[in-house]
Amino acid sequence: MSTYFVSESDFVRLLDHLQEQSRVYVAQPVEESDTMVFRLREEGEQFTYTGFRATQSLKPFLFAAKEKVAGYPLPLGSETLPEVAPLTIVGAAACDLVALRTLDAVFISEDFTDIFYAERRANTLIVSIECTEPRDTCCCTLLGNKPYAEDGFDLNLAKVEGGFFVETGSEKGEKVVDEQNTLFSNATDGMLAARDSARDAATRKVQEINREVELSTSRQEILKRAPESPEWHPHVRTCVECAACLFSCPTCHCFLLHDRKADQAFERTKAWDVCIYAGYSRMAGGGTPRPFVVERFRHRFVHKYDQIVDRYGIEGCSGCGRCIEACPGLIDFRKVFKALESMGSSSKVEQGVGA
Amino acid sequence: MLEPGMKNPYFPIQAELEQVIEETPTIKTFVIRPETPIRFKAGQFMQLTVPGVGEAPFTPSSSPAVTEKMEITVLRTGTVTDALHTMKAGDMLGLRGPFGKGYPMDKFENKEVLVVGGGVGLAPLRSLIFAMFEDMGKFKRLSIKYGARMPEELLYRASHDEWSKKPKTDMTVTIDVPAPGWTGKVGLVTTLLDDVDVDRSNSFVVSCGPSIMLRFVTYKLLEVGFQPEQIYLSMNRKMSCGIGKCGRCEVGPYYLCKDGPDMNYAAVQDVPNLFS
Repeated sequence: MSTYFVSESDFVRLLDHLQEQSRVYVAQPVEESDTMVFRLREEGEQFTYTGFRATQSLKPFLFAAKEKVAGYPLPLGSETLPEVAPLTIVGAAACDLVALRTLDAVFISEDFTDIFYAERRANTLIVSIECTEPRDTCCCTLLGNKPYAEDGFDLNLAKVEGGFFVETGSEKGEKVVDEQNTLFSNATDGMLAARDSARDAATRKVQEINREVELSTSRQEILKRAPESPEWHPHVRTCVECAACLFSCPTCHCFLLHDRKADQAFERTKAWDVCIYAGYSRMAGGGTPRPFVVERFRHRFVHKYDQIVDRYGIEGCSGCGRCIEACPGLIDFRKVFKALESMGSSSKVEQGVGA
Repeated sequence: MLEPGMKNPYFPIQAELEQVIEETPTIKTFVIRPETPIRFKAGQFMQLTVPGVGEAPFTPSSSPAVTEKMEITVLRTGTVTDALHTMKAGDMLGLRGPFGKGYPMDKFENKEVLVVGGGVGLAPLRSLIFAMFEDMGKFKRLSIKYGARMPEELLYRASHDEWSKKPKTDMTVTIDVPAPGWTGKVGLVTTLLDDVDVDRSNSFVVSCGPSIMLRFVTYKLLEVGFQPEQIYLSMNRKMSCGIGKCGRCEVGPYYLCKDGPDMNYAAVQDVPNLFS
């Protein structure tokens, strides 16, 4: 919408101001590590611009890993409703914003809206940054996305000489600038040019990283063509079913409603759940549609790159690479697709073969 | 759908357990009165909360014409159903729903409807049977084929005669293995389909039962000349949210909780491990 310049010191003042109205989480480097994590900002704290996505996605801020969603007893006629405080998140990457499209499509719909997600979403201000330092696991371009955000943010920061080139992406973002207009000045064409050339350079970097795993067929097409290929087996061999890929995924949204006794009646918790666990789809009586790990592993792919596409018109993957980074078995979905594509047969998994 | 004014789709409205009917040694029917009446279509399901134990999906077995109370017929088989089977009249339950699409009643108009049930699978089908009885003029015929393991496990046994005598209705019952005193048919429910006289060109089949039964009923129906498009199956999957978000009841591109729980066989026949 509009563009501005804010100096590094004035940006810290802006964060101080935002901290008066909300909890502020900042993505900041971890000492003696090459990672960056979201953590609660300390008062007056400086801000380091890193140019890379954080270890966590935005998912835990909006879709709690575990929260109470219902319970009795209550005053008659009332229902359990979320208690949500305003939140500001600084340092979201473009891939994080892309992932929110999937979560929004799932949790906010015409027939049923998850008010716990929707309330948090409405009360969260998102300040994104541009990725200038992509890592080996980054693959936004493979997924048709970019290492910088064009929408989905309230404010977007690009590092320029002496401060940040700021773009507003929503009314909420405009309001922040209006309220603190003394901190902002006009952006120059030179700043815009500097940002855009950094964008081009970053895009080329990500493309280069993924040169060898580019596909000529769509992921959905690959999965539809070979849904039960034996080619899955070599990739599953090192899967220990830890679910790090799924818990770290910014779009994975499966959950389980779990009840326990509380007071005189009950309390219902909504908690993340993952399809690689054998109990995920096991029914009373023991039946399950996916008894073998290879079937559950394949399901993750089919859900993300086929079923979600059919259902919402977008892939359930932003190309953030967290699943690759988190996997102790060195499983890389890019290589899985590359192998499936080059194989191209549609032979069936032998009955009863588990990995 | 949610009760009017409700915002939280995970919150169950309170319901009183009014009566418990012992149907068989393993199956009970629970008569439940929700704090506000619940309108449902035959085949839609409810999420029933046993407070402090958990929630599980059940399709009401009562007539959709009655909204102030509903009956749910339950086989004792897991954590929630174990606890439910120990409950007494006056106890409190919770209800969310109804969810799902329900049986495609419009499609059944002027058709012969073949209902194939196994064991406790007759429970959701009874809601369909009652719904058809309410408006039998609309349908050409109702043919019920029902099987259970043994005579004691036959569900709604006292009603079978009454149903058979309804206009345009017939019912055949079988048990899996011979039993003392049983003079009726013996054999799996699929044996009742070998010489079924339902008009292949003008009918639909609705089946509910354990997965293994659904598998062989489907194969038998195809063998005796029914088309996949004519067959509706009450699929079995674990469910949690009931509203197409939590992810686990998927069958191919569908979520059973939103698109089912009864699925047209033609739509799901290529899904791996369909009958598991």
